[in-house]
Amino acid sequence: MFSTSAAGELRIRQVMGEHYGFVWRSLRRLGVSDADTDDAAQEVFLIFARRQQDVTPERTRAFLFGTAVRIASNRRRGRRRSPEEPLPEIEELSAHGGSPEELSELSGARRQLQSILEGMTLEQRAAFMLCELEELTAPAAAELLAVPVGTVNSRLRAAREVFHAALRRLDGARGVLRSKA
Amino acid sequence: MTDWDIRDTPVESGFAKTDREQMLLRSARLDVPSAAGQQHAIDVVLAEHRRSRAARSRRFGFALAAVLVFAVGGASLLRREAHAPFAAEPAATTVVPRPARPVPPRVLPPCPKVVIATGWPLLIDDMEDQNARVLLEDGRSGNWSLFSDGTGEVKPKPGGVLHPTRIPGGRGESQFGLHFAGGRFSGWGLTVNTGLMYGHCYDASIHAGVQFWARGRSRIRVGVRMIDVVEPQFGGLCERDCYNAHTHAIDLQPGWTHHSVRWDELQQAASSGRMDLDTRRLVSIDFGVYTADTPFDVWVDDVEFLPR
Repeated sequence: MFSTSAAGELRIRQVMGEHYGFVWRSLRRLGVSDADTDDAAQEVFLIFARRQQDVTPERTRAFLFGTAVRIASNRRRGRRRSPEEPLPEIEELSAHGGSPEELSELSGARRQLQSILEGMTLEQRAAFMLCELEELTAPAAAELLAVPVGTVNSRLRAAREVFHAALRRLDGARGVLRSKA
Repeated sequence: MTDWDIRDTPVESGFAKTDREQMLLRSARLDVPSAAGQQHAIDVVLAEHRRSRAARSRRFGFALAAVLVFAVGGASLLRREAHAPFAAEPAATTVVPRPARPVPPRVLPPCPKVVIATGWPLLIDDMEDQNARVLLEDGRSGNWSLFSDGTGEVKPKPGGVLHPTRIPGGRGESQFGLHFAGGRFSGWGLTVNTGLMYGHCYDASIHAGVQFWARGRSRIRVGVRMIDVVEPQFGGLCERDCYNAHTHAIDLQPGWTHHSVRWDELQQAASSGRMDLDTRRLVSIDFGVYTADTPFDVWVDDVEFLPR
């Protein structure tokens, strides 16, 4: 019994070490607020720890991602995210390196990206984040989403249209502001 | 190849071309968890894991102790009876509890392959795509099919896939649903079902049951089939008394009504011995009409799993 327990703990440590960042980023990009992401990530791994005997090593990442999507969906349903939710300040971001100007620009871009992602359905957002932000191939994303590659492709296409449309809107808004100035 | 073509290569080579787009996508890299947050999560998850293991061990210990007590009690009774030349007199003051007769749990064979539902999305099929295939989500794949015992009239024709039909007047935003209707039957009736993933056990234990909208005249039996009640030629493991699905009866209303059926409401017909429902071993979702409930006219729409 001890060895089983020790093996279980070892696997939890390994899985959390390997996938925590991916799960955390996924939750964040799936619309979980900055303040809630740590709790949500913890919830994903608590579910994994309870069900780890049912999850084969090759399905671990897919299981974690599916669980993250479900938890993100529940949390979004439970609480509408405020568009004005504060994001980490420049001082916090400076740990990532780069000049203050670059970081300021990146921080603004990040805020815009988050608002663009908000305009996508959860399915589109999941495909977009896996293929464009996590830079997975469509077949790899299809495996994580447990859907055919064609479905990933169509969701990704729709997500890109949302992305471009949002950019055009933002550019239009900036143009109006400039002309008023 | 345009920017919009789907690549098998990462993003750098295709979609993000302008500096602005690259900047937006690159900004996502600022999203990183803190090391302290990660360590805290590991500590919490491991602590919970140890706590639940300890609780399980305690439960196991209690059960083992109970079994030992009964076993020792039973053995001493047997010894007394074996050595007594005459029937032992009943004990005047001490009542030794009769050992419970252990009922060995039925051991089911391992599943050939398993798909574990993550729990998202819940929707199995909203029928709006007008094809017979369920949504290919969360590891599911299957077609709605209609089978009957052939003793009565039924529309559409049984023995094949069942396509959604336009709902006269719609149901809110929903325009399509499954529709089947027929006359009186004299055999076992008919069933409309969809597989969840052929040749696999579909582990739906993360869900609490199934939910759907329905309307009609008659009683239907909503349920699931375990791999253990389906014959091998159809991907199952059943050798005898097959197709005893776990179901729950619902009396339909003339107007559209939402129904939820929890796993613990599902039961097998008693005729051929019961098997506990194991929601880790499902192969299909079923809507059946028994002969006693014919004639019938049934609409079903928006079939989903029920969240816990």
